[in-house]
Amino acid sequence: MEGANAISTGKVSQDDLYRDAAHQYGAAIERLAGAYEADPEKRRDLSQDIHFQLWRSFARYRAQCSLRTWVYRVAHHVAASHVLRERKIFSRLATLEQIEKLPDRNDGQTGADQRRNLERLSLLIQQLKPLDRQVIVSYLEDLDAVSIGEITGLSPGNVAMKIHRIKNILKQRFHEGGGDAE
Amino acid sequence: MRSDSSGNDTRKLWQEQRTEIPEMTLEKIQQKTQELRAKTRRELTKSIAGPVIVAAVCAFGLRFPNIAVRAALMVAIAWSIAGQYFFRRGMWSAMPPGDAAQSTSLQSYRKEIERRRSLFGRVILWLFGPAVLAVGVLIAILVKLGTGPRGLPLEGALRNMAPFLILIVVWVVSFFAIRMRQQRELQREIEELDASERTQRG
Repeated sequence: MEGANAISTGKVSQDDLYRDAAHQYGAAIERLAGAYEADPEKRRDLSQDIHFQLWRSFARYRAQCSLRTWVYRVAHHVAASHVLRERKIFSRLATLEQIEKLPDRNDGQTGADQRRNLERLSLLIQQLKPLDRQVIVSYLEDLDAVSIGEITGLSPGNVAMKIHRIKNILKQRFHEGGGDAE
Repeated sequence: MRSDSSGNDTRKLWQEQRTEIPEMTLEKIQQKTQELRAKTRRELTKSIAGPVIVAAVCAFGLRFPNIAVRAALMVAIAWSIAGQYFFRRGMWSAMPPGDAAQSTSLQSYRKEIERRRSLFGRVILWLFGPAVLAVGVLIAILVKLGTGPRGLPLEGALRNMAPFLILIVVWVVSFFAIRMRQQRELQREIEELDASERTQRG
């Protein structure tokens, strides 16, 4: 509570807030950048952009929401803008509903090779439209449905429906049992 | 990857992937600020392409005593100058990160799409429009010169100009075709967001 009070009274500096966020969510930001950009060079640029915009955003942080929600909102916004800028043809991106109906081209090829499975998972995420990407990335980061709703602005029912679809897709493609995020 | 009781699932696989966290020191952030400024300058330089075409055509066209030609070129100059103001003014309306953090992703994503869609309209109206008008006037001048008292008949002049005219037509058509396709994609994305929001309300 002391931290929140310090923030609301403006005692915590923008630099301190950024350092704290980068320390806590640095790895998650990297994974998020990987979900939005396949090219390693561009991914590094995107990640740096997210960090930079995050630092800028903290000039206006007054504990309106949790630090995690703030970080994810900025990160997803920068990453979605990146997709809009880079990807001219959105119709080639799919929704969770469309992906769910598509047959798995690697059917039967799943195995213990973690690197390959991770590549397939990243590829699957990169095919998705930005909003659905946010939901699946948040789900994979172990965020619960309420937090996902808070970040994305989707209703709890909509988030639950999307998580259900995500689980189906992961089950089909990775033979995954999976626990509940809701 | 089979799910098992140890929880070795996709989420674990995702969270345990190797990541290289960039060390973003405050010096690096300052460097990034400078890069952003340089990038903005580059964007502004690109927007000067239209006025450069207008200026080049005017430098050539204003030598001709024809009132209609001069009037059209003056309109192109005024349009182009106004365009620089209106186009640049719109360039700064990107959502600041502080606002994005206070909006949900759905809201900030929609705003970003709408911003990109309106950017297209501004490019057409304020950059492409004056350039096309100036090029049109240039073609009219060239045709007039080619069909003068000692020149060729209209058909012959147009035949001589065919490569240039084809190039212009290809430029205009391809510019519109590409931009219109992007515009349709953005519109479709907005419609999908509308549908998603309707579903949420329902």
